[in-house]
Amino acid sequence: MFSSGQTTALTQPRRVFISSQAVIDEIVSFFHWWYIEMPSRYVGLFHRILVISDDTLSISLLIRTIFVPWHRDPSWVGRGFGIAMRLLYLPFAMLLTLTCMLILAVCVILWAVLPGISLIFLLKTPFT
Amino acid sequence: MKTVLGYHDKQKEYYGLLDKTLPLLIQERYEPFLITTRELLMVRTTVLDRLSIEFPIRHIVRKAKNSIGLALMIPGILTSLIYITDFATAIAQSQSVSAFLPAWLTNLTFWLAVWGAMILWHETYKSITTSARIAPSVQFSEHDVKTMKKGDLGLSKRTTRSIPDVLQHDAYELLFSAVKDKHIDMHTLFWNVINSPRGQLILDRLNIDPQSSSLKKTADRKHLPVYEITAARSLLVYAAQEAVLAESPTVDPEHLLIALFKVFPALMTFLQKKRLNIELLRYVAAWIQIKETGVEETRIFNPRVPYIPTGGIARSWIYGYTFVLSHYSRDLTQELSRKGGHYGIGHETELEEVLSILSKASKHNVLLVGESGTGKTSIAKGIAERLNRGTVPPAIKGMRVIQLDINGLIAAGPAYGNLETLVQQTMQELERAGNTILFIDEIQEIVAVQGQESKHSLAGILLPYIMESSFPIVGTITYADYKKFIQSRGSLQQSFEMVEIHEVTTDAAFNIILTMIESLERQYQLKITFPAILSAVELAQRYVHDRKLPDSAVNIIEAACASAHKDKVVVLTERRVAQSVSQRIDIPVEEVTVEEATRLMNLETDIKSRVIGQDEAVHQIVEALKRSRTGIRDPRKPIGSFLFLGPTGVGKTYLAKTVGDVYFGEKHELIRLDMSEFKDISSISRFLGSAEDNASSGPTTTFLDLVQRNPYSVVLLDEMEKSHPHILDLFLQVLDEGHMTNAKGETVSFDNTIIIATSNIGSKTLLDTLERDNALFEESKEQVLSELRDTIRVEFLNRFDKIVVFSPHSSENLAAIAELLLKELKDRLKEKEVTLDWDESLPQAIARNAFQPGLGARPLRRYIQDNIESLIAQKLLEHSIKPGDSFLFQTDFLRSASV
Repeated sequence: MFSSGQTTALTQPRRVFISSQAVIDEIVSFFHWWYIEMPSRYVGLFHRILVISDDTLSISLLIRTIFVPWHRDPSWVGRGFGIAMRLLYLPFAMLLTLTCMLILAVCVILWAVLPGISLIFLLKTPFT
Repeated sequence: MKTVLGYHDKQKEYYGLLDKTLPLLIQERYEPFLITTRELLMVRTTVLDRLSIEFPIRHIVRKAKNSIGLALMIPGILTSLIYITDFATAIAQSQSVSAFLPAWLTNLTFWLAVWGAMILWHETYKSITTSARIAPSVQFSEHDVKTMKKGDLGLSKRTTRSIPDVLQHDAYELLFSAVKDKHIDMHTLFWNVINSPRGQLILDRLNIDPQSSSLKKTADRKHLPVYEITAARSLLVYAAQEAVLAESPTVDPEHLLIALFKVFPALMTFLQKKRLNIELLRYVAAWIQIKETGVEETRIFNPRVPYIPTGGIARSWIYGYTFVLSHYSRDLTQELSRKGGHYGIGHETELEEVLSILSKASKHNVLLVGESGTGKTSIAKGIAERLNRGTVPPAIKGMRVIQLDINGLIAAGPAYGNLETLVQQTMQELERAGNTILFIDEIQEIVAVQGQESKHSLAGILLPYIMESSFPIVGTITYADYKKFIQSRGSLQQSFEMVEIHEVTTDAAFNIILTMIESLERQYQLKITFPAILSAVELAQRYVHDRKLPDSAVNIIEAACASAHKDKVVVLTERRVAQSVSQRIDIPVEEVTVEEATRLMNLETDIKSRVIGQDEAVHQIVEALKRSRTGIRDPRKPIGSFLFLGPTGVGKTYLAKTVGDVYFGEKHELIRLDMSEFKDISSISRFLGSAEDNASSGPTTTFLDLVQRNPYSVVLLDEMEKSHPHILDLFLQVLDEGHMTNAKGETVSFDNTIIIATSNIGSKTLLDTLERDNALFEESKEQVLSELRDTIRVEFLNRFDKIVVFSPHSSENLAAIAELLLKELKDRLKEKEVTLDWDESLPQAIARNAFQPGLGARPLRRYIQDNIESLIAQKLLEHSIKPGDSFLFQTDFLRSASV
């Protein structure tokens, strides 16, 4: 748990070693961030957007309370209107949510392929 | 206690605790560490060494990376601008600019810019995140503390965390910029941190000028030397402690700054000279953290931030309409979701209790009972805030808080036929809605209002709904009104669960004002320092007794801001706050200035020049005033309490009046009670009042009312031995604890009064003894005190700060008093532009002629009135003395006047 406290001196070879190590670390860190850290954040983001969308558009809530009368009006008008409004509204809300998910999925795919595509285009450019 | 500092002695394999002293452990054998409830935070020397070697190189590599990113991006930005221009020229149908650029160049710059953006994005991400975060810590349990004190620190039970892993990026750069060749330059580190944005923010809030010569002189290389790098371990451990106390997940530059102040005595002394302390620095650091947390909480797309579902846009579909109610109410949940803010600070326990009552299936009505200004309405808003955030029990999730507008309801009654009909309609709407908590502020108002038809009170009309508990109701009321309106109505009382709301602590009041800082600064266009806030809270607690915390402190800070804004002051300091309070209450509360210190030191001489011959009494009173003014006295008791004994006319009352004039100012009243009027116990109501105001005779002003209205005054109890003993007993609590409770249950504070009681006990003894021999005064004093103890209870006498026996006036004293009275007459005649002078022997002559044994100095005044003032008045009427004249009153005139 606790250290023995040995230290090392900075010689020129060591300086070169540390410099190259730092450059390699930066490159590795970049790709680790691009392909591991950020995608895992996107998974969390995906889930969060789903939750926010469901909450904001009240999708689960309206499904759970599908037979609750409109504004608690217990008459047949209230009950009928409540169901009708839900049946009209829910498809639109779900479509909107699905669209958001699709856009995000496209962004994630773009994210994954962007380094590769940009390298390909960069390499092709002098020949076009 | 949330943290424990310790060290490991590697040679002796011993673990010790660091308690009060915070040394820099330079020797390698001693390794410092910090324990929280979940983690062991420490720094390995090898890690520190490696980081210090790698830092300069990695710093250069990162800078190069940034430059490369920018270099790649700039051409791309230019290309994009060209294409944007292209688009614009295409609309204008003029020649395309991009036609001059080859396609391969634009493609190349574009894709390079993409890489540049990716690189810069990565660098930005790294600069705002750390590889690890400090786990939140809670207070150690008593069991843990006992175990640790016995020597078992439980190190193996905790997760080991290396402090450099939780160093925030800027703090990392600041620390290692000061490290070179295995040494850490504390001077460089300190000034790096001071000049960083966070350091500047802290100094700004504490009103410390980083360019001040005193700081430069204190924080020089002599006081902040260079140490071996092992010293940085201690510094990091202390900084980590500050991060844990501020509930920060990383060690930030402000924590390094606080650690530096804690470790170096010169810096601590600098703080003390500025009347600051480490606690204030911690407050600023905690405030910075709260602001960051607040910003982070708004980032709802961040998976790390908890998301609380609120129901969404169609939430209202499943609840009933409240058409009528909405006209006579405010939706607090909706208002607060727009406005934001934090409510219920300092009342977290009460808020939890209220929420648990509201979530019960039945009997879920709550009555918040407390003094005005303690935060009852803030708790109701706190309920709305918690509902918005969703941190409430499931039974009340998704509900809203509606505040009823009683006056609006009453005024609209006739429009609906009568009040009963309107109330029934609104209550039915509430029952049907199913998602509403009704909040009635000052609920006693519904008891007083009556319906037109039924003649029942509004409370009577609402009672069936209250008792049925179909929807939760929250009401607020003061203790006095609860006793008057609710306690006497059994069914109403039983329909509510009572939750008592007490005055918040000074810490909570401070935190409440912190939440208001930004809005106050915006409104008044100034900057509020943290010492100013602390001063407002302390002065409110000490000097404002007609309101409770936090209301009193908020009131003071707002008044100070308004006054500063009027005077175009841009920084609100503690001095400015004290000045504002002094102006309001007309009592000096600021720090003693040089001029006032001189005045206080000469106070005794000043009073003695006005009150002749009672030097001991004057001395005792002046000492009490000095203790009060310099803040040394016990603030929970009166400024001073004295018992004056002596015959009539020796200056007891005059001294009381003079002290009031000198200390509180001439505008302040002397509250004088002739205790001979309180011989009967029934007169106690003139002290304490009655619980009910008498409707026929109207409210009467009691003694406590006078003190409440004039909290800064001299209270004179004349001839106290003549009052009923039970009346005197009322003062036992006043003299001991500085307050008295009236018949309505309100506490009246005597903290800022001087209490002087007078008595004629022993006067005869004194006069008889002195007629025989002046030198026997000391002996006669003892007799007088003995008589006093025989007449008044010892436990009452024991509570006075000092009992002083006034000596009868000698002829020299009487002459000096005559001189004073003549000077007063001279001042009065000056207003008439007449200059009065007198010959040297006149005062002695007056003393001689007017002296009457046992009557003290009063005959002198009467004599001057009859023999000097009358003569002058006569001459003024005869025009023998005209405005602009000088008149020399000779001693001979006295003989002719008396003839």
